Amino acid sequence: MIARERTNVVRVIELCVAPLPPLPPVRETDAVQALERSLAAGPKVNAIALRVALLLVGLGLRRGPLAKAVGSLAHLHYYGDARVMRLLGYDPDAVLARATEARVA
Amino acid sequence: MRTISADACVIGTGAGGAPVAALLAEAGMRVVVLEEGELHGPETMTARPRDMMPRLYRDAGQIATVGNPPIVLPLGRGVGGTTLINSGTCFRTPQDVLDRWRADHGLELDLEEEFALVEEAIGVREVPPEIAGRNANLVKEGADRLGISAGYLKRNARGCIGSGVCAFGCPTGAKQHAGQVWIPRAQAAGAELHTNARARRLVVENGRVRGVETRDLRVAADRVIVAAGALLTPLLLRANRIGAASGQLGGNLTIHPASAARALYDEPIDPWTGVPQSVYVDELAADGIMLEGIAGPPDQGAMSTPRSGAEHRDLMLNARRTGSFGVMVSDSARGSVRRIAGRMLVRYDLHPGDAERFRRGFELLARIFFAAGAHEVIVPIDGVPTLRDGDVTPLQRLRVRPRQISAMAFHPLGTARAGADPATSVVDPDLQVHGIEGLHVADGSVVPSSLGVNPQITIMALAARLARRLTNAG
Repeated sequence: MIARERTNVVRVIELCVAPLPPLPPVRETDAVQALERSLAAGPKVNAIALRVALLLVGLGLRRGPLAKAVGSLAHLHYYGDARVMRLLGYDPDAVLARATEARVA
Repeated sequence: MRTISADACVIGTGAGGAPVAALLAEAGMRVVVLEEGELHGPETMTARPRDMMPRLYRDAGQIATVGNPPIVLPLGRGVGGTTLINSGTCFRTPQDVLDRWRADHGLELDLEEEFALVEEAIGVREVPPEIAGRNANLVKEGADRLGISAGYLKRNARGCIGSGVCAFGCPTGAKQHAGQVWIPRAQAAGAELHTNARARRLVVENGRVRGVETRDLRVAADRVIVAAGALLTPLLLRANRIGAASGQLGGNLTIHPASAARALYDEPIDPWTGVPQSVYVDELAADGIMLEGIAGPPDQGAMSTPRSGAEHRDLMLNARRTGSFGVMVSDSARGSVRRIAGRMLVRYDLHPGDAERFRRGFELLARIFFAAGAHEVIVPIDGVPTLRDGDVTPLQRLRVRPRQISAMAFHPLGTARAGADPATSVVDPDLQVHGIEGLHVADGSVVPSSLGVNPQITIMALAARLARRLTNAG
């Protein structure tokens, strides 16, 4: 993504998540980088469609399946940030430590 | 191109392919297994759903149906197939479904021995309440209070500690998925596993299968078992101009559409703690409506939580107190899968009757949530306000349309259905493709109709039955 597109993605995620303290602003999370990774891992045609959808939502599209898909993507990638997850009470490292202990035992 | 010879070549390592490979190898056959994905051990799991999806899910979890409404259809990719990322729920095929298959499709299936065999192999047992998680235990308590039929689910797990991330790779190694149980058994019996090996060509000569080709490997075998799953198996067969005579290949797709409601409690329940799918409510099962647990870490929850903007944020800030539970319907609609311009296209429209089933399921679930102590319930049906103080009348009054439902689906079935009549089915009762000797299918695509329950035991039992037939046939 070029800088301008990234700026739009930040705006769209802000719109879907509406973060207020204690939730950090989107720019302080890894949501956009993670979203880019997900788009790169999926089929090219999906990436194109989703990037167009992100653009349309940035331009004001608020209803319909495309807007819903963008909302889900935004929520998944923002709330998957490690700091945000911990803030809400979920600690993946603690889950892994318990799992490793159980596996080894 | 390198050529290897085998008695049997199995394409796919999911609920169908893995047991066939193991049981054939243990019977003394030389077996080669081709798997398009990679091997993912429990030590590679991260307990972070967002980051695991691109690794464990086909197309990074971005497969969706085209239709009304679009429905996300996540599939696993790797050794174990979709069992790598399923919830582990185990149900035997309901007897009324088997009776219907006998009447409608000429399938005489007595699977009792196979059920017992696979359940023993994958460690099926009921979830103990101690690891079921507060989210599910509350639903069980609510159902019990109302006298509604509910119970703890059976799952394939050994040594489960309730890590809460079954659908994103079990970090404990407790979930006994196909890649963890059957593939090691196959390898121990001498089977050869090739990962990153996508089957491209089925070699057929004079009505008899002779082998399989990947990009750089040819497996010469007089028995080939296609087990690539209900979306990919029909595409592979069609690409090889096989199995299309009846006109049924790629059609008859059922998916078990599912969706989840949220409930806000006064107490913290930490929905990511415990087994995500540990309780069921089968009060409406006879009507094709099943309620099953679904829960997980905040990112998973956020993705499927209804609402957006400030409303969504406020729900997420209460994530520790927010419960969730799913509604799954035994669908009456039929979709299809085709390859268009090189891409898989899944067509599916939710039937209005199934939308009504969702409404009924959510109404029941809302009553249970309220009986369990919830003070707010949010259902994923557009236009339905947040339900408060036990009032479910907005749902009772609703005439719901398919486009109002937000759904996902996890159980594609039926796209190469089995049946006695070659005019209406793709494979015969022994799962051999009509008219092609030695070519069999063993995955969800042979399941002729919606099951109403999670399908992995049905698929494994059918695969075990096939293995028995092949070994008995010599």
